[in-house]
Amino acid sequence: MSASMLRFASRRTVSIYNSSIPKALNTTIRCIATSPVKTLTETKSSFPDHKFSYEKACRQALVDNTLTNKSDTLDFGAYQRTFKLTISEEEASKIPSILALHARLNLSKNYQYSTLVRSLTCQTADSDYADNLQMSLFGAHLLSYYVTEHLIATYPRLPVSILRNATEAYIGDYSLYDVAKNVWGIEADSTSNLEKYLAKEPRLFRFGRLRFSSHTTEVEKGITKIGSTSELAITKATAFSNAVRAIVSGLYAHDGEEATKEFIKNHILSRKIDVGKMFQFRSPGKMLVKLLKAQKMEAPTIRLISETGRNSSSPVFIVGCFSGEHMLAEGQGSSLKEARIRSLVDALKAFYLYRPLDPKASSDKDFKPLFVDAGETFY
Amino acid sequence: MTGISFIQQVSKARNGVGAFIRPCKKVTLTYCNFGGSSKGIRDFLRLRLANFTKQYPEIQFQVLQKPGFHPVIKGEYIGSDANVGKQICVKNWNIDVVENKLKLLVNSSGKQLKKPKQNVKSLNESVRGIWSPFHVDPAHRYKI
Repeated sequence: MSASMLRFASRRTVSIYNSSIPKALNTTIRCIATSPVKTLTETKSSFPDHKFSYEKACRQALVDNTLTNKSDTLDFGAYQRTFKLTISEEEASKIPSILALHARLNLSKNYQYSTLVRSLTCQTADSDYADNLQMSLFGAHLLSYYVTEHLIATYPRLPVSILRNATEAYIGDYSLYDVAKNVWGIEADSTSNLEKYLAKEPRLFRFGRLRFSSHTTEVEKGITKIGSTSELAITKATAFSNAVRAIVSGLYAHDGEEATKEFIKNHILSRKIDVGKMFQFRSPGKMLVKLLKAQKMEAPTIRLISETGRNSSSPVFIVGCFSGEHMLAEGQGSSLKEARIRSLVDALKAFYLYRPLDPKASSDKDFKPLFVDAGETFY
Repeated sequence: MTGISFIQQVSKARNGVGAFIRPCKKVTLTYCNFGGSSKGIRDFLRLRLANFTKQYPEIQFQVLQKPGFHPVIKGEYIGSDANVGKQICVKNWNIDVVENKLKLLVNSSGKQLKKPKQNVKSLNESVRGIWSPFHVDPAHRYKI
């Protein structure tokens, strides 16, 4: 892996990196017009902002004193960490699980085996080997960039909270844990040194597995000790997902941006999420009234379309949500109220889940800007 | 956004949409160096193993000598524990059968064989939706 790319992955560098592609990244969070008066009068919410795991991964603190930049402190690309030990390419190419993982992910010849080894090594207190901390940090930004870009292109009207939630569904810790463990077949290094000795396993082979300091340790069979004294202890899901992030950043270093985008598309964006099921409206009626007003449409009216068994134990009502002559959505339920609420929710979802035909992301070659609407005017 | 709260989800794998990853990750072949039942697998190891492994770089092959035992081939699969894999005893079988059994392990998903209860299994909802009697023209509706 080229040294310059790894240096790029330091925390501050990533933010610099973002600013070099500002247009696309800044659109990841839709700009809401706020008047200066509002910022003065607004009181701070007593609840802290909810942070998703993919956002936390982008803001990891670098607990390391070895981070240095001797020449110029403002040259963020020159920040470097020094490691006492590294696994060389020759050594890495002797580890069967690394070779297999390389082939399984269909990585190119440029992608070095030693990068994979480094990707699987998390920061631990007792190890001097090169770890994946900066790589996973950079990978987290790459993933969040391409996934948000994809979501914005596919669902341009998605509210910010749902957009973040959908991004989390793709690249949150649990999703990437599933990718690493149940799709890519990465294993955690859980056996003790004694077991390894008895299995006559070469010492080198442990670098083919994911190594991290865990919150939980199995003291003996059936007894698990929870809690770790180490500051660097991370959960299993975080460790696995950081390995995925690091592998993605390695791809960027070895094969460039296009290959990374293709890789994310094939391995992450090809997974199934259901954006429609993420919504939970607190008062759909009020929201729809506001929305229609903002869209300069008539206020919604609910009309009964069909019904059966009104006096029986299992009635069914079909209602339509109309704005003037246009039917926005249809709802069905075993009471009029249920049917009404379903129709309102469906009408809102029909608006928010608007999807252009053949959506193109801004980093695609044949991208043409598309005007969808003026954005949320009533928030 | 005010008024909308979210329900968290975890994305589901669809192997083969986008990238395909072979579920088999490791194959272990055990043989005995002098036992008669291992003759087929010994032939296989000598004549065909090198070519066979080249076809599947994504799988680790491990060859173990187990003197005095019948030969066994084991497959380990992604997403399941190492001791849950599949095992086939290949005693007294000739080189071709051993190769076919290896192919069987390599191409398997690692899941237990079972009879599917439905013909189509999908993560996606039906595009057509469920048929509704309420959307039929009232003149043609079924009347009791």
